[in-house]
Amino acid sequence: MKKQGPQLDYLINRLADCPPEFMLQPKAGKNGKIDMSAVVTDFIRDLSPSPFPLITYSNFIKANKDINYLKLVLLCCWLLHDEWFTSKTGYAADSLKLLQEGLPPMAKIVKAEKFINDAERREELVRYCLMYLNLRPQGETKAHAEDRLKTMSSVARNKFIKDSVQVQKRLQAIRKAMAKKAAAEAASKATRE
Amino acid sequence: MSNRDELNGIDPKILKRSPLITKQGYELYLKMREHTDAPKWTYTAGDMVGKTELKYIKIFKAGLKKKRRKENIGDRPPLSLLKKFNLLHKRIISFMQRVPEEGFLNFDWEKIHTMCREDIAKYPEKLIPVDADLERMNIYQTAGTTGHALMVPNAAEGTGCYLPMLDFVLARYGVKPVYKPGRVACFLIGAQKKTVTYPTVLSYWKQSGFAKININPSEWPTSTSPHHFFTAFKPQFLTGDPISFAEMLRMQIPVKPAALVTTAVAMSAGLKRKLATHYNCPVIDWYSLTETGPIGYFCPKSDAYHILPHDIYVEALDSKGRKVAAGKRGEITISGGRNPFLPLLRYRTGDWGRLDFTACTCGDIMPRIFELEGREPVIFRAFDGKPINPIDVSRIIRAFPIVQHQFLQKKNGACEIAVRPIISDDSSFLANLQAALLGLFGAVKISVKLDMKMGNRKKSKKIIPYKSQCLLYD
Repeated sequence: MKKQGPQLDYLINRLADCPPEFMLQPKAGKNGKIDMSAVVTDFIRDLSPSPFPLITYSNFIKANKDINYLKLVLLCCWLLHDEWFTSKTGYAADSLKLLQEGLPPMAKIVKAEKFINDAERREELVRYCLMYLNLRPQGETKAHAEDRLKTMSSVARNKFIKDSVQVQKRLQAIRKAMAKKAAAEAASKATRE
Repeated sequence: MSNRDELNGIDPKILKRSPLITKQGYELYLKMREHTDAPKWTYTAGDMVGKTELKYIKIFKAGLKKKRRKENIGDRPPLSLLKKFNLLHKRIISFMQRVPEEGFLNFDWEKIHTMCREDIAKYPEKLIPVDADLERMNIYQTAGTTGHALMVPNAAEGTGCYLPMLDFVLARYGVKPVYKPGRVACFLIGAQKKTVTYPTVLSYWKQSGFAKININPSEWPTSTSPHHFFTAFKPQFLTGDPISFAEMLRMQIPVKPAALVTTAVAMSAGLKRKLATHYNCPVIDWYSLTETGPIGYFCPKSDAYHILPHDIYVEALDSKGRKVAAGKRGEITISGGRNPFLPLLRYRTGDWGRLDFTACTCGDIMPRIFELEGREPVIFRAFDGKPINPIDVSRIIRAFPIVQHQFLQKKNGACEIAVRPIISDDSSFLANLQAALLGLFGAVKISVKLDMKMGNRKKSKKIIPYKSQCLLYD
């Protein structure tokens, strides 16, 4: 987060204005409408003044059939395919890293559409993308930007906790065990409290 | 004998509850259980301490001896505790919610949201490690004398560690009980209408006897049975609460304890003097909560509580979760401990006090809590003037879907109870609650009402669940 990036609100609004076509079904195998390779290729090409080795991104796109992840890739391509980024050089490698490494964990937690429709999620994704590009929102200090991102991430964690079926099952099991054990004998205790 | 273990004649059910019980220990257990003047035992319990738990308790004891250092109470918890929390971080929902993924080591400690009784009452499952072995879990239901009645999980090694702490505190008062098979170490005294009672022996105390006893006369075969029972087993020291000790005094039970360890509610100076004079032994105030375990003990030389265990981190916080300035009063807040099912992270106890780090003349290097404002002892009176322990009221209240309550008995005997139900504006149970309380108090006026704002008013956040205008002693 060394350098100042675009204004936060500007990017948040851009995300909210994401054209609906970007949320159409991405092509994964024979199904879907959006040609992922074409979108990602255009995106990276416009960020990089010199030809970028296509193989590095076409492979990961082809290998991944998680529709939510692919939608998130499309969304970030839309977000960062902005003049602020394309008019400068040096963001191609970090953007690719974001798509390849940064988005898979997010895609497991939150539905891509949420990053358009939910204000908090929009801010989270914008901050997250900027972080990968080593940028912070215009007018913010590094410390403030980091702190905000942490806060947003914790919201994501809460969401994950709430939505995760596995965790919910375990929590239910704990509650059930507590009720069962409440009726059972406990170990003796030598004092009152 | 068909139902007994053939190897040593110990009932397998008892072996299950007291895994390390020996033949001698079992003999003492039977002697207490089957004594002619024994009370009606209502329960069967043991220490549930096996070899692993015993080893844990012994390691804790060693730590208690070597690690009670002042450094444990600094601006941040000791590194050992932060490392422990890091290991728990991804396993406890509440920890994940409150601390970012990087963990505890570099996170601003004061930014961590505090927790309180309400969290345990409402979302206990979020506080228990998700991979915890639930088979080992024991549940302790609190009396609710400080607000919410709670179900607090713990493990045998967690409650077992109370014993070395008791030994430590007794030693601070020059009391060194002799633990050996055939000898009773301690009776835990209660004076309630109804409570759990049982005899057992404790492995950590070398098979010494222990019994939880209700001195309520209706629990004994004859009116003189308590006297005979105490005379027969001669407990070396007693634990209990001020109300029970006051009742024991009133009943003139012949016992010569080396110490009285009083818990649950704060003891008045008057009663303390009376008990100390009558029994000619120290009366030791023990500050402990079911959720936290023992926190402190009353210093023999100063008017304050020394922090007791080495593995808790104590803070005094203001209402916004910030540490109060040195010497100022704050809410006593605990982190750490040894309960594998309830690791505490900035747990607000609801008790207030002033932390003091200056050296104490008694020689204990641990900081002190001055002006601890815990729970005041209260007693209620039935229609005929007989004493009623708040715990009995609590037992009734616990059966209803209530988050918090405030119960007041006026001088004329009339009672008022305000409750905050779990479900907003749920008044469906109020009539049954009133009827249940009438069953306990008899013909007194009891009014019941809902209070949805309880605990959330700016001016009166602290809830005092039990107030009484009746005198503690007749």
